[in-house]
Amino acid sequence: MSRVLLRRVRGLALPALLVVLWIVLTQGGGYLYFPPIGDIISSYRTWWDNGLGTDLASSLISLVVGYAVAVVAGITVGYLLGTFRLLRSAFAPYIHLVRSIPPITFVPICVLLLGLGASMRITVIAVGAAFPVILSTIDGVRGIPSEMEDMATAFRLSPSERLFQLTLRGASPSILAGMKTSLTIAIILIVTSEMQASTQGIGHFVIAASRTFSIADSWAGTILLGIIGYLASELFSVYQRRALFWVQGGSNHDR
Amino acid sequence: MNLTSHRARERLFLPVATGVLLLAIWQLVAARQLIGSGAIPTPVASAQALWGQVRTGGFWGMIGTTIGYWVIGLAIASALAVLLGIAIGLSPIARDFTQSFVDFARSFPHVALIPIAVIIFGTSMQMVLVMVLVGALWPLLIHATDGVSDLDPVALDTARAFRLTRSERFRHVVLPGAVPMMAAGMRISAAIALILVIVTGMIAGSPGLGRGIVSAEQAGDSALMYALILTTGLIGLALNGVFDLTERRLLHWHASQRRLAP
Repeated sequence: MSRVLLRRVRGLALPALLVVLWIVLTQGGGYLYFPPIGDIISSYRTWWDNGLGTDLASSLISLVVGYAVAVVAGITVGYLLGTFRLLRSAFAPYIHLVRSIPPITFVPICVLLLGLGASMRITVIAVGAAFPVILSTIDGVRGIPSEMEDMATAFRLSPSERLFQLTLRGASPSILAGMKTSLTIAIILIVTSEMQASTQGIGHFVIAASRTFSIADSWAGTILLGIIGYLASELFSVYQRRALFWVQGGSNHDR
Repeated sequence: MNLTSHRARERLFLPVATGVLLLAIWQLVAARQLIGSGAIPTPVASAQALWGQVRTGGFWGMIGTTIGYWVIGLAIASALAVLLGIAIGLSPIARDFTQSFVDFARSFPHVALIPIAVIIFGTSMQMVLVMVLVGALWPLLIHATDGVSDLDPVALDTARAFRLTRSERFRHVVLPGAVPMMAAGMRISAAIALILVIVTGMIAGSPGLGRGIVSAEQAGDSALMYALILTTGLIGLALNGVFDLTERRLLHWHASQRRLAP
């Protein structure tokens, strides 16, 4: 147990050191681009009075709704393409083509189609974050051993039992790995779409602050985005480990 | 007709058929303005815009700049990532100290740093390279660390039993053992690097395809915009192909590259 504790303490040492260095070195305000921590905190105070809550809610709602649509659509399409060979041969090349387009370029397409509102941001995320889930679901569905399929037939599993107990469950390690990639993409997309084309959200706050050279405000927004990205990824990892407790040899696909 | 030739025909014919169908739907939706009243250009118009671009120097300049930034940025990022990754991977204590920081740095949405990078560096090449470094460093670093630290203990013990020296073990066992993992990390880093080159162009206006896409958008030239977006996809596909080839050449000895005999 003490080994685990030691690792925790050591793990916190470097981030703590960096924060302390920032506080100490910037104290007198000697670095133009790295404002004193007090300035950043007072940025948060001003921002709080001027709609930090609305910006945060706007970003998080678009993120959650867009990501949810991407995951549901991704698993559905991935399941269909993974199960039916003809569909796969017909569509796979186009999915690979669209997947190699950096998803951030969907922002201008959606802006022309949908304008600058929340529906644009949600659509960008729903489309851009769906592809990793589609591909990982196809892999997961195809990777289920055929003995298991035979077993399910022999035991006369009903179609819904077969879908949930065998196919989706068997594919879930792969699906969750894809969902994790998608989450990263979704966060990148919410930030870029707000920076490029929006009048609200944290991304918009950061870009607006940087255009007026308010460096403390820019840092305040950037740090908040960093915290959101980190928390989202950590929470997802916890969920991933819980959901995949049954996988042998650990469930951590990416680390 | 045997099964294999039937499958081969299916693999050739079906995608072409869907391609034609998708193009037809796109043409219909765009020409009749079924969605977004004129915001979607027809595929014909996009193809014409692309053809018009292919004959200009500006287009190839944009592609050259984009790929140039990508190559230089990725080279710097991967050199650093491999060195740091191996160093961290060789020492369990270094792993303990850096893990939480690396996790944080990897999950940080790096695009959020672009505005600050622009304040510090302007829209220069330096800014793009710094952003590529900040974003593309981590996946390769993590894979290099894991590749070095998760080596097959039997191979290491065997090397020790044969009394290989430390440096021999490193050169003949540790390094080759970690290369496949590094190749996997390199792929992720390369994709992130391309995204960052394009997104810095879109948000900060540094030269390249990203800026081209946004200026086409602002000029209301949706046909050109679609043509340029498709170009980024083709570049992504081409770079992926280069990686496939290199991996197959360099790692032909590794189990992951072997195909089962038919």
